[in-house]
Amino acid sequence: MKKNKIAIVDVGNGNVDSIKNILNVIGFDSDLISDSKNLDLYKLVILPGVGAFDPVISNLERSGFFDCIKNIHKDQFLLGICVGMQILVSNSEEGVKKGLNLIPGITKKLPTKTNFKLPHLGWNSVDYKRNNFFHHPNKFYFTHSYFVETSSEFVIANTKYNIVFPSFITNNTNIFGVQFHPEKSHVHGKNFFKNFFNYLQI
Amino acid sequence: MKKRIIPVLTLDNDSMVKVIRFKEKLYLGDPLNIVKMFNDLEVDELVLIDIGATKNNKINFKLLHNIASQAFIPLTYGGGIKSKEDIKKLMNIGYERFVINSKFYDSDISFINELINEFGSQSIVLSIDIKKDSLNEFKIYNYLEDNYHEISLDSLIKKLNQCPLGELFFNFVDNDGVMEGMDLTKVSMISKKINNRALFMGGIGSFSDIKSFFSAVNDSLGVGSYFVFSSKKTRGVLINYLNTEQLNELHNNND
Repeated sequence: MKKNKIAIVDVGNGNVDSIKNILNVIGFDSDLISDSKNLDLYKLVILPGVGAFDPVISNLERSGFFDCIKNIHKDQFLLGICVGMQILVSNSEEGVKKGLNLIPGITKKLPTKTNFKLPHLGWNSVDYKRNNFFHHPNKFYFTHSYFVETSSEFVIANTKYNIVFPSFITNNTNIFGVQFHPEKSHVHGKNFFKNFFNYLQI
Repeated sequence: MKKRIIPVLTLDNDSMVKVIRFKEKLYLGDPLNIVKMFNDLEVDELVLIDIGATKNNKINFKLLHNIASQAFIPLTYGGGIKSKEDIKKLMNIGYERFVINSKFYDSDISFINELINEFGSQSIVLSIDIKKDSLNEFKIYNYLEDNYHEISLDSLIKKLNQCPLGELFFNFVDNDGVMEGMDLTKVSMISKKINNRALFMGGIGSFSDIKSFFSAVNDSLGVGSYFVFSSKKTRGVLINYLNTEQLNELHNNND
């Protein structure tokens, strides 16, 4: 069976319409899905996240998405955005709940100092670490106080705010996460999605 | 990290307006049109404040939805937010950050803490409108009743320093819409006292005002009149933003 292309998980913790809109503008249809049974039908699942770690996990558990996403097929892709990326790892300093554990790592609080207040908010650079991945030298919009700590083998790109932290990660097969908001990064965001879909061949 | 220079736009029912000193209202035009222009100018983010929402006890979700669907930039909304449900709806239609004002002063810090636990500290912004009283002392202004809140600015700041808010949004009421420069003495004083991030607004009338702000403090800047009027004198509506040269000048000076 031919799979539909893109699903955006809609269980009340994301700016789902913003993602759908920007994909529309670059010529990609997507469906907002709130029934986890339909997850199998899609080639790419986008997991938005605006909110705190535990409430986002609770919403996914309640709606049945947590287990479905945890067991996502090898031939399906997953892209977590912001908190959607932070829940891809095992756990977070922001909450007590367990993460999806799809990529080894922990979500931690960004350290602060003078001139580096939290949240990390605004436009910042993304520095690609890999030659075999699409390169995309530009700036993206960030708004977060926590970051994913993982080993360098899972890092596609880093960003610097007081410390250097991973802003684009992957399990090196089908799971991806971005700390920034491509859906809110105007021209840069449109290019990001175009390049990403092209890379995934969808 | 880019400096944040943010157009702050005021909605009043279905219109976009600019308010002078929180009183006189000038009509700017159709909100959808104006937001689309700012989106095309590739501004870094937008803040939208509906000054009628609390008075009318109604958030204009339909208009806000239409606005969000044509802006591919970060959006902050304030006006009439009273519950988690309000925020959930706004989040769904494409807003990331939420400005709380009246409800905070009614219910104190517990409401803010509740929102932070649910939505994360990065999404919650508290607006603090400050105005000089007859003795020239800065007080926290209550625009609904045109008087002052009881709590002093200093004790409010002390209290908020214990609370990990996404941002404090300081509006200088006396300078609002006047376009004659900011009160940078007071801005710097506040900036030194707070632990949270801050967005300051009130008085920007020229590019040199913007430069002065960033030489004084390391916070973010909200701009109203200067990005919607052609000049201080005529106040003809002209949607504009900094040009590339100006942006480069700001970013090269301090990076």
